[in-house]
Amino acid sequence: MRIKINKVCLFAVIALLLTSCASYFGQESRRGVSSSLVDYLYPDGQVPPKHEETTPHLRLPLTVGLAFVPSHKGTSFSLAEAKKAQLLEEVKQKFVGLDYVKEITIIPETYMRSSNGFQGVEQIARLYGLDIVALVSYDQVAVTSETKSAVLYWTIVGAYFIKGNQNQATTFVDTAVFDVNSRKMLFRAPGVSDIQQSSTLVEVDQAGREAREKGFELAMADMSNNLAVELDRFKEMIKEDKSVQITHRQGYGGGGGIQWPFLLMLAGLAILRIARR
Amino acid sequence: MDSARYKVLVAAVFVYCLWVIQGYSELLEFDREQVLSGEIWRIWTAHLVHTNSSHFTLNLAAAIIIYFSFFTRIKLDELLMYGFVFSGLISVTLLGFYPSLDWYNGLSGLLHALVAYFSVRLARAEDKLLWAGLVIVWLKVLIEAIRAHSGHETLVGAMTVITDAHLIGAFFGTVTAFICMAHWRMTSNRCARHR
Repeated sequence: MRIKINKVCLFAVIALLLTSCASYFGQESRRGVSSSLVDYLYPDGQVPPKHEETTPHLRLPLTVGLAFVPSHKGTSFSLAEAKKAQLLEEVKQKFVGLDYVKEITIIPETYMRSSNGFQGVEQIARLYGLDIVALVSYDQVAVTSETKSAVLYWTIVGAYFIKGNQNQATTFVDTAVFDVNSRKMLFRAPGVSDIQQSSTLVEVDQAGREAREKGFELAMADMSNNLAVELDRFKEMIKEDKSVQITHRQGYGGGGGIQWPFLLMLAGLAILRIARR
Repeated sequence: MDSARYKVLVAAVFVYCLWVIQGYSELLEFDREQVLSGEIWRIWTAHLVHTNSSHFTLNLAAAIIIYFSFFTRIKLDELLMYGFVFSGLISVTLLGFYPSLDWYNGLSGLLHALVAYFSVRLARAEDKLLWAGLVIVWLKVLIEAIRAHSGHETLVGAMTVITDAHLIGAFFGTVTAFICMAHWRMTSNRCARHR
């Protein structure tokens, strides 16, 4: 009788252990982080004001502020402030040489969190002396799931050597450029990325973090490229429709530059001279 | 060394030197505050450095075409002397008459001056076709001035072209050429009378 009871207890313990292992393996986790430009600029359900026919006035060269829109409170995971600063620095480097840009200032997220709405943006603009601000909002979903090879995790050793986890990070970033004085959006540019990488069970947290960071890096790089294209389009558009007034501040600069038509005329003259000799 | 090889060598050395100094534009370009605080060399060196690679490439291409079509018969020391004079005149004019211009760089102002000067000189001396060079330069700077006056901004890459520097260059080149020619004509008349 005692032996029977012992056997039953043993099977019960084994079943319990197997159940806990089964709950450990085979799950899909989905987490996300996002920040909303509309929620930031119009907090507490504020309604955007009616469209006004004001013409933004940009005085070149411009002082530009670059910042991430703060994420929602209580988000389970988010990029570190240092990583965000690094990503913004990379965007800054792409545009820092522009002749009509005097300075690009990266605004820490802590400053952005301290206030919201256009009043908050104007306070920061006054603090940094900004003409326009570029606000980067984002949305990232990270999914960790197991592949068929994850069955080998049951061997325990497999958890260390078999890459049975798939970590996916889908990232969308969007940069909206605003004129501070008129509160008008001048142009916007999106950037997307989709990262997938596999990992062992014991490396799943680290691999997931790397995938999320890489996702942000690629989406920001994509956004930078799109931003450059949108900037060119914006320059062409305002030349034609005069929707933005442009003036130069006292103290501008530039270079003496030859252009293609003159170069071609000179080349023609040179050829004529050579032909006459 | 024959003349053609010598000229190619001169052009190659010039291109190489120009390429090397592009990395030092912050130290060499025309910066109003720095010039006024005593960094006088910027008056001349501003014309040798450039803002971006398209700016540098276009100006360099123009310099090479102009050298081989206009300056091959000009002695190197004379070319250097006029380069020194014209770059100084352009920078000093920008300094004195354009108080809101903070910075300037690029070879093209100087190229306009040299083309205008040597077009007049060589057209009178040997090849009438070179009057076309002067006409082209003046047409170009006048069109640029009219467009700039109507608010058009000329860009090379992302850099604003200071078209006033071209106008100043063409002006000094042309005026200097006519003054020099009048002086030489008077000198030669005097010599002829003495004979």
